[in-house]
Amino acid sequence: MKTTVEPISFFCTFWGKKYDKKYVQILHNAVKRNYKGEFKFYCQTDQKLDIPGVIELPFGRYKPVNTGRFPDKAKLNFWEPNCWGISGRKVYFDLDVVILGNLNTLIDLYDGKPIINRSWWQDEQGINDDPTNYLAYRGITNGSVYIWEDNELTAEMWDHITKNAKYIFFCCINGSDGYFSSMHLDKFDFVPRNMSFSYHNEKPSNPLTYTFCTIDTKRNNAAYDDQDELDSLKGWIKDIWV
Amino acid sequence: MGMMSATQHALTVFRKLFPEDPNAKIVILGSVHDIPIHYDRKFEWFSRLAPKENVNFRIDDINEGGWNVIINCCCEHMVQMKEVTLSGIYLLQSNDRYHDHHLNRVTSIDAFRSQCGLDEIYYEDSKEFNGAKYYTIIGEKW
Repeated sequence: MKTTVEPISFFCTFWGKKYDKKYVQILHNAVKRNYKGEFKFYCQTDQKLDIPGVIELPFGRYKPVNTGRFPDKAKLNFWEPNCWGISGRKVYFDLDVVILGNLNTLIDLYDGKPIINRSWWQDEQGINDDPTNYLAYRGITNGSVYIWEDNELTAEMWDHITKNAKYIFFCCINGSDGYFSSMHLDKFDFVPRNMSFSYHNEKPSNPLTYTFCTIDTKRNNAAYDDQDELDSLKGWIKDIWV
Repeated sequence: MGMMSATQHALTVFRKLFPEDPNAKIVILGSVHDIPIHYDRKFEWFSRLAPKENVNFRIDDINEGGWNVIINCCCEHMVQMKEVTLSGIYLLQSNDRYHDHHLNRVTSIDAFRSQCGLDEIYYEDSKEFNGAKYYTIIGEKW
């Protein structure tokens, strides 16, 4: 296990009207509360945020346009080696991730392979027993969280992305998770099962022992009754999402 | 004798129009569902076990190949066939079945034809197999 190299760079991305910029502010607040050490916090955006401590970055190679068949194409920009001139250990969060605990423990798991979140709850639905093709499916990876450093593995992924973008954006109709699950599964380590859960699809008895949860869209047999976005959730999670 | 499958139907029609030719260099895109047919190369659509072989990301390689007969009875699993620019005879089939794997299902012969990019069409039909509509087109790119 490698010691975390500081300063860490945290990233998120923000565009369109699905979320308010307060989601960026709240994620930044959560990182400040839960990461011990030096860090910088960047947001890839086309908007003026004016949030103290949040460094705005322009969109990289892929813009959030024509996203009908590949909704999150702008997230692929994070895999460009040395993108925006930033190197070192990098951590990406979707804006609907709720951080529940110490991030250092999670980030220190990085051991040379990029780490991606995993939709562990799907295993119970037998997704790995079904010889499905993830390309057009949502995949077993969950791109809500990435932890990585630029290296040969990420360079290989970026090379494949840039050479095949036209086909990737057509084929992967559920976005980057279908793509990564189909084409690059062997290049990733996963966030451990005991560190993440899906708020709408699981109901752990001890949620506050996890590092984070994702507010995924509810699937069949979901544990919770509502599938609202974070803004309208109630209870313990709303007390933490501040 | 069981019912003919959609793939069997396509290959049967194709062989009536184009009997076996020793000069044919055949590439299969996707699968022919275990129907015995001679071919020179196959590119799979199923990426989970052999991602580097996935046909969707081998289009440039395919276009640089020397094949003159292109058989794809799995067009619903892949990019539009106008991306394939090889000169030759094409047997192409797609369908309207909803499925997690079907990233490019089509719902009419017109929609399918517009995806194929053929210079000449020799045959086309729409037939139902196993509860779905299948669209078969045989043609040529010059």
